[in-house]
Amino acid sequence: MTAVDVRDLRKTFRRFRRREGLGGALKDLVHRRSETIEAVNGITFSIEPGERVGYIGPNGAGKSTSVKMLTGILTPTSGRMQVLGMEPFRDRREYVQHIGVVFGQRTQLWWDLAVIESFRLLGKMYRLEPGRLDERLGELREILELDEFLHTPVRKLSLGQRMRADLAASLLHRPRLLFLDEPTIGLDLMAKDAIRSFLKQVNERFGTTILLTTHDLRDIEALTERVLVIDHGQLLFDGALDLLRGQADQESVAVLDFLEPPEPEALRGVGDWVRWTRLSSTRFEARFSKSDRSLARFLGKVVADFAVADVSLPEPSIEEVIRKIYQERRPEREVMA
Amino acid sequence: MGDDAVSSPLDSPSRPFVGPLGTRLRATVEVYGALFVQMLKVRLAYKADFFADLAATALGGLASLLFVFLLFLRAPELAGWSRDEILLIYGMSMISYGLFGCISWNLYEFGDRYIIQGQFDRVMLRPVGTYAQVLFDSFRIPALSECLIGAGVVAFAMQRLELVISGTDLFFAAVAVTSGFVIFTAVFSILASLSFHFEDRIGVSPPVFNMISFGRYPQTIFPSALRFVLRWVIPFGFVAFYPATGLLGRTPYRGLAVLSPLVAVAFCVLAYGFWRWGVRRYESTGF
Amino acid sequence: MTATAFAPYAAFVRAAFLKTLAYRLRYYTGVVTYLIYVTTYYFLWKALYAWKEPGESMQGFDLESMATYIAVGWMARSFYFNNVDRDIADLIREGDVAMTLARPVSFHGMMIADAFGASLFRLLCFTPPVAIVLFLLFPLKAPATGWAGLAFFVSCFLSLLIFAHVNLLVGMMAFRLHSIQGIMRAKHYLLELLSGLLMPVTFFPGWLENLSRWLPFQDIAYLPASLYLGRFPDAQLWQPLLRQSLWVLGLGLLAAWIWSRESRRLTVHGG
Repeated sequence: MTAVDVRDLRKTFRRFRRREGLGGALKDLVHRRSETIEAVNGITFSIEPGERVGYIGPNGAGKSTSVKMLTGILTPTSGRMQVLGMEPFRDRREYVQHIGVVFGQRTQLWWDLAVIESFRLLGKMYRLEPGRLDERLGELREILELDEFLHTPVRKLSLGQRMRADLAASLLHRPRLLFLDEPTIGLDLMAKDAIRSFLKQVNERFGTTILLTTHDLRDIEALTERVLVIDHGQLLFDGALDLLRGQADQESVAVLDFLEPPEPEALRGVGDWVRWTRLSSTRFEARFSKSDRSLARFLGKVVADFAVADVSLPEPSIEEVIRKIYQERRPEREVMA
Repeated sequence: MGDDAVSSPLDSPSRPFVGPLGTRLRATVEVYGALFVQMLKVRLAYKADFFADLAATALGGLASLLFVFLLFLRAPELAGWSRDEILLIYGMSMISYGLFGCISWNLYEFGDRYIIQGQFDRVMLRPVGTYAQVLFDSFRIPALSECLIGAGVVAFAMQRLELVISGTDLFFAAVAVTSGFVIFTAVFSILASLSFHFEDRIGVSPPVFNMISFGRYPQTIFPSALRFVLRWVIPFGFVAFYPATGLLGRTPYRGLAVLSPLVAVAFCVLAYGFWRWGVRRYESTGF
Repeated sequence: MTATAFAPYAAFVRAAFLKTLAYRLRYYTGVVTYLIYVTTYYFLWKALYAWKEPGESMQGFDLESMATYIAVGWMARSFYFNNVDRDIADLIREGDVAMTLARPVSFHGMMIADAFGASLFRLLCFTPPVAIVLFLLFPLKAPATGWAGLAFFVSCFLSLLIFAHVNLLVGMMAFRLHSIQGIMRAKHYLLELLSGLLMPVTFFPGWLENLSRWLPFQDIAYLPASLYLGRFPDAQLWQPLLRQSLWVLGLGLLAAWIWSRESRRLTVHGG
């Protein structure tokens, strides 16, 4: 059975627009202007059990809205959505017992209570036998190093501790599907690494399906095999991470360090199919479209004509890849920051 | 390790909050009973603060009560109602209000805490009814001091009035006070449901909150239109006044005196409908 | 101080003004709230005067003056009211106080400027509809004399400063206490009563009336409404205004002293 099956999902909101300044505020008092926003504008995809999927896109692209529909928080305006064989909003109470959700920005635990008490209350809500709760906690406490803060009130936890506590809380009832919204936001590098490897472990040991939204593309690189790219409420790309990279890889990039500053004339002499960018007086970047032997041709010519100290061929970063997708598909729109 | 992670939802072992109402109710009581105990423990961990809060809340209640005493310092009666009769009404209302303040106060702040600050997302993610979660998510324990003062005032008034109180009367009073609490809760549930729609922080709750004081005085002092509103639209008249006339044996409202529980139930049904409508309309912040 | 020294505070006033304006629904419901307050107490007093002959007075107020006293008192409150106590408590609880210490403006001044801005908004957009509704619905008197009206207007500004400072002092209790919710509630009810908002202080028993003379609370509601009703002869109008000003000064100094002590403690020991 497919874990997630989404067909032509849409969500429109009505928003009130505030006018600027004092006069605008006074006008708003009498009459507000509203506008319709198509936050999610017809997306279709499906996810198989056990997959790890990254869900990326700029702010306001419709990521959160679609995740909120998938988790049963929001009702879709139209479209079909079957998750674990259920309709999230309609079957909410049954459905949420099989999913775990972690929002990086806010905790789902009780602010004033000790972490362990929050866990116990959740155990009651999910109707776990006390023995089973202890067993699951036993599994989690070591990998997530819960012991150091188990008896601390949630409001006194550091961000990293809080995230670990929230992760543990979302896994107590052993969900089959785990939604993560910016799970590494604000964490230091060590903590990020720990969370990533933990999630990978959960996925491998329990077959938990993972859907992850993030701004940190290293999360994607470290964790997911498949990426969904969304912008302006529409799905721009759905496929393997390598494929996404390959798609933007239409162009070769080379960075060259010359022994002495080259003549611009001479650089142009390499060929009109090469675009040069000056990085420093002796360091230049060259771009040209990827074709059969273009790289070999380029390197051969450069090495022959110039005194070259060093050549590097950087892999395009995912940021760059995504930026390119946006530019290609929606040239008139703003590019991801 | 267990392999129930890949089992189908149908043979899942834990389905407590789906199913017959009785099971659901028991599970709800169990969860929130535990939460109440935890909250009490947290509050008691700051003992000085807790008692300062308790004393201050009591002081607030006493100050509002003092007003009634001061009124009667200068006048013998209030449109045919004696001080002690008014104290009986006032005290009953305070008990209901104290229960409301302890248990249901979250509803008053619902728009701010749950809609604007986005806490309702969390509510939607738990396998428990959304309304129960909001209602019982926090307890303001110091508000119970208002109940104690109210009970004291009722006892004082009854004694001064030399009312002969039978067991039936006591039962009637208990039902009335509970109905009053339920009426407050239902009315503010309806207003909370509206904040799914209005994106203002506290919505329309404050004016209605201030109407609570209408219910603490004899309804006969108000013009008929206002009396009508306080009976059938925002039924705060039923919180204390009409039941109290029953206890006092004052004739004009004999029929209305026993209606409180029915009004409470009717408003609960209404509140349930509003809540369901609101949750469907929920638009989480940001997108 | 030069004009530039006030510039940041002017910005706070403006920000508070816009912030208040942003909540449209609250604006409308606010008018209704005040209508409800006045309605409750109007009918209560009317019933209380029922045993008197028409025009007969209690403690120096006949029914008409009493109705005006109540309505004008709430009208003034629609102007001077603020939530400085809650705002400060929130700042302290969320640990944002340390951040405000880093700003090159006085915290005390900032909070008062905030209250002032909100009240300015209320004066322009909120109090007029409240006043119009009340004058249309209830039989109210005009100010006793032109001078009395003017003194009332000035007095309301001083009420605002006293009220804001009382709130400031209550809010700062959050430096020492985990929760001041109960204290804020107690303050709310005590202030309603002791300020004379619910009844003129002449209705208090002797001991409480005497005690009130030595407290700043009656300066918030009783004094302005009394000025309006002409309870002070025109030649002596300056006296209550001076009294209010002295309270502003006294409470201001007290608040500044407590603030400096508590914030130093905060920077030494950490939040």
